[in-house]
Amino acid sequence: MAIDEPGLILRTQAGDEAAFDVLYGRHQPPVYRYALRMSGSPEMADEVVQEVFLGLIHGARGYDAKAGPLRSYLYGMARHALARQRRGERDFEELGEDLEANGDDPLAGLAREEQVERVRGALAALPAHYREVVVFCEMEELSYAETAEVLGVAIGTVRSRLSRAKSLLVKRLSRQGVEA
Amino acid sequence: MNDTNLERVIRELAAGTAGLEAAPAVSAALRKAVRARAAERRAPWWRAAVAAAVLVLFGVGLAGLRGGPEAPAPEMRAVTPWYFNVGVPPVENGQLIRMEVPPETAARFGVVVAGPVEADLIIGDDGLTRAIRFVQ
Repeated sequence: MAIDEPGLILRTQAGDEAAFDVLYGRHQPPVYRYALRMSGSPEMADEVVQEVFLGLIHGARGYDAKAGPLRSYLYGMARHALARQRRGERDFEELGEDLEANGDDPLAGLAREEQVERVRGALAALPAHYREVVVFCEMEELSYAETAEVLGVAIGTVRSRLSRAKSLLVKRLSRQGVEA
Repeated sequence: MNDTNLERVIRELAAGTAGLEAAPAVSAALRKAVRARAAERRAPWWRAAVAAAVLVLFGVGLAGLRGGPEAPAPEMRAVTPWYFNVGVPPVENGQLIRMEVPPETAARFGVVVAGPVEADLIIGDDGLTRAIRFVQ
């Protein structure tokens, strides 16, 4: 059954809690997961969710159902909220080009839990524009086209960023292996 | 290392956060904001007063993320000055709302509290927060 999301937004803005519940139930989990996976901070993810949905309750100027699904619009709001939250903080480390992956699997021989922790750390160290394509394409399982719509870039840019992100992840993991 | 192995580990990482959701306090604060919208519609004079307050606040200039002079609103019981967000584009219209915010948000402005605290927020009509102050 199709849900009339523009209608639900209008009803929410008019103070209809039932309409808000439907929108929040559908869209809060992905917005929260995205913010959590990008920031690594449950507190910051909570703040992002609050800001995004406050925006929806108090106007959401600019949302046009013809331009794309509400979820993409909310992801966009969350991206801006995260960018503002992170303004002034030190940006994540940009990995150097000097360490090339040697072809060996840097995760080989590690327990699964340790593999996950190492990848979590390497992902957190990626510059945000690379990290977000991994989050959208690999973790949220958005298509390249959907990711391109959220980011406002071409599909080819998504592909190249994802490829570059994976390359950087392997380099980071290889370096961790050397330093371990 | 091949992409498939890396992707497998990334999917495991994703699965570890798949069921997580925002704290219940976030939902409660947002519901309060929705109820405030309903109250605004029932009391149009209040909406007009809010719009007037916002116009006054924007009129004094929203430059800099800094404490500004207190707006003359004795019923507000403000305990901090307004903190303005310089990282967003200017808007012509907005709304003044009061809601509970988590202690982590208050701490970012140097307000140390044990639990949720009431705050006034100026929300532009694009949905972005322009200013915040904390009240008792």
